[in-house]
Amino acid sequence: MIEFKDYTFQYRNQKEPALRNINLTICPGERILVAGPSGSGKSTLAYCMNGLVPFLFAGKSSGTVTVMGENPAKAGALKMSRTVRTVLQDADSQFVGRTVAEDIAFILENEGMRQEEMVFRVKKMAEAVGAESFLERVPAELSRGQRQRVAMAGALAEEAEVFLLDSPLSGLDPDARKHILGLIGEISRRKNSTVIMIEQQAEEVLSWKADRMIIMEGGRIAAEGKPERLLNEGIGRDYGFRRPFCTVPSRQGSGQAAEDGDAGRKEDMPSHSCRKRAGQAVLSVKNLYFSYEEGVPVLQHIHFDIGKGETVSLIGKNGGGKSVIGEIICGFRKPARGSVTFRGEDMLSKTVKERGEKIGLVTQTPAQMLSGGTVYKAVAAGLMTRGIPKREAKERIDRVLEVCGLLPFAGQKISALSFGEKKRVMIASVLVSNPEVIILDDPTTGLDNRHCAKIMEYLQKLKKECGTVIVLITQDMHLASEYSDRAIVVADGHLLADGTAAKVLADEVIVRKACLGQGMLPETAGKCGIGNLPGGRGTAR
Amino acid sequence: MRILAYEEKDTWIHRLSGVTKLFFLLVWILTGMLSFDTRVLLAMLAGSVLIFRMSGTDWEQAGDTVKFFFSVLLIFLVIIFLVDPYRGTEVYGTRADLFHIAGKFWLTKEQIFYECNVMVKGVSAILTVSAFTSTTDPGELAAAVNRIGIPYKIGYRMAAVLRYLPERQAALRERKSGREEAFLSRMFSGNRRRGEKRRIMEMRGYGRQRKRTWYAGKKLTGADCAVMAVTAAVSALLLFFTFRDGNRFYNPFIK
Repeated sequence: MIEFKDYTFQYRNQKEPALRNINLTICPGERILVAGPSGSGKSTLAYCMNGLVPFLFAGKSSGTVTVMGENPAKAGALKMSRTVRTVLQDADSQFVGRTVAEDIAFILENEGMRQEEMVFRVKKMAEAVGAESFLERVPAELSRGQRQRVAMAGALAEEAEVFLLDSPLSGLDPDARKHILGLIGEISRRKNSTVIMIEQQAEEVLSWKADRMIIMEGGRIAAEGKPERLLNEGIGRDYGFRRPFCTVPSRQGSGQAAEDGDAGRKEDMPSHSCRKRAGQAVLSVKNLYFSYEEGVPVLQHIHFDIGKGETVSLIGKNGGGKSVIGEIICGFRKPARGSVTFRGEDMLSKTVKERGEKIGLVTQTPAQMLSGGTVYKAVAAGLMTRGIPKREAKERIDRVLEVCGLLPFAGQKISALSFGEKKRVMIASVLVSNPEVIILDDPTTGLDNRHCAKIMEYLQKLKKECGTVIVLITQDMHLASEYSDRAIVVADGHLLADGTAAKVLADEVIVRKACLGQGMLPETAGKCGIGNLPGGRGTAR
Repeated sequence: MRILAYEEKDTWIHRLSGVTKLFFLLVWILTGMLSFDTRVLLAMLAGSVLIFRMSGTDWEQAGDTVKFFFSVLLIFLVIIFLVDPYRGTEVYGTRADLFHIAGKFWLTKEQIFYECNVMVKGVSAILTVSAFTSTTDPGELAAAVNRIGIPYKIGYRMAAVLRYLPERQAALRERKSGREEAFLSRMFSGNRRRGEKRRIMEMRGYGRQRKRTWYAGKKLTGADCAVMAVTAAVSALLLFFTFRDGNRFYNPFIK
């Protein structure tokens, strides 16, 4: 049993409490879904349950919280680990093993399991999450989705009374998400465990059939109830939670037009003056090959051209090499073979900084690109072009902070921000220098619908006014179908398809090979007997 | 990234247990420290080079780090000269000036010989430590140390040192080169400092029981015992040879 009674918690380095007057009771065996905009306190709620608060995250609290009869703040992370198994939002930060196998075995080692049994169990878990092919690899060489699977395997390797999963599905392709959800269900059933899942994207999680959904905002519980009820009544949307596609057609059918109110009207968007750009293929990638070590090819024969003003989605299953393509283009990795040209100019001979003036990359995990300091400083640091008068620089920075919803945080230290907020800072720091090509790797993870929509609208504006090229590396089929003209599918390091988004996503063969899972709209359309949907645009959420 | 780290290979050294390699490393370094007999040191240098070769350590990969250590050694040699330029003459009992450098600093034959000895020791040690690092799986080392009775937390700390060595190297490299290295090195270092890492380990159950098992453990084989026995014997021999004339030095200046 988990109980919060009038619980308030404030981080030491923040001015406002992260949790306010939380009153919550969770019964054993319940499946709870926690949602809410970024910064609303979801992860903090988890930390207060597993003992990381206050031992890792210092701060003061009032009220009480009991988990299985223990007060986590007194018991500490070690004692709580007996009953609570956690997967952190930033899965990378919880790796302890040198290899994947060692990491999955960690909990079993701590339990003193016999070596033979451990080897067997690790293999079984790896197979269950689809990680058996890289058991002996080092986590640093895996894609984000693969690392996420490893983190899940490590957490689920043993039963526990409470599973605390913070964004367990992030970074996974749709097929993997279904798969992992099934695994969570299976393992939690064995001991009738309580499962608390923090997720922002409703779709696949709905199939999980949570008993209760809790929506947080501003540190409070804003709404509570059965997930179907909350979502159908549109309550989730008010708090930045994306309504799943399957509820949209039913509302449209009844004549109600669903508005996208939170994105802001287009006229209110800050305008961005810039010189019109001319030219043919802006970004050209030819014959790209890459591997971490001999004999393990990651990318083979990747090639594509992107023209001015195009928005292209780079999609495909986990570990297919999508992120690596972005990293090669921006100079963080060197390809074994191939060329990258920008307006005909060779980019591979240029440094990261030189490329950064033309091509901006927003990486998957915020921590990589940000150092200490305040939000404002970090965004200002992204302004690479020299010789801009101070006033104009400040204007640009403020504009971009506003778009990303960061103005209220401008003076805060980055370390005090939530995952989603850090991600927005990273996006802002790239947007501020207005590069001609913007590559966003996994932009939706950690971001709630409201902020995501606002940022995407801004990008669309840039595209119209300045012909900015936008490349979205994503697993999010909504994002791909709604915002991109073109979809490039990469699977197992090979280029699988390159064509209009609607066509690619509707092609069954491609979808299956790349584990794109279709997303619910085509599936729903199929069920209603509607054929191929034109364009993919204009579908309100 | 080119750093010195454990590389999984199949050499006879790799196949030995972590305990054996640790034993060898400690004994070898101890012997090197105790002895100042040039003939012994040269033999040990030859041995170190051989071991380095047999460990299969890839020069492409470890080269940068090893070169870095060599440069540190050189700086060290200069410093000991500045601090005590006549140590050599004290030790060997004679003084043969070569030339005047400045002020009271004269370069003597004895000092050069003395510092050459130090250099041989240093090179030997660097090569041996490098071979050790690249052939020892940190997890297996922790397991091995635990098995011989040392509490597991100590073993784990030792393994952690080995494990995070590459990241420290990368961090050092980061300060010299630009953003690229910084990006890559910070990318997967887990972004947490040691104290925080400890909490996360606890969250994952570390320290729960008094005893702990190891996924990467290996059992001690006959080969291990043999190698350890040979190491002990050779070391004893070398030390005997060093000290049988009454002191640790080999003095070519007095006949």
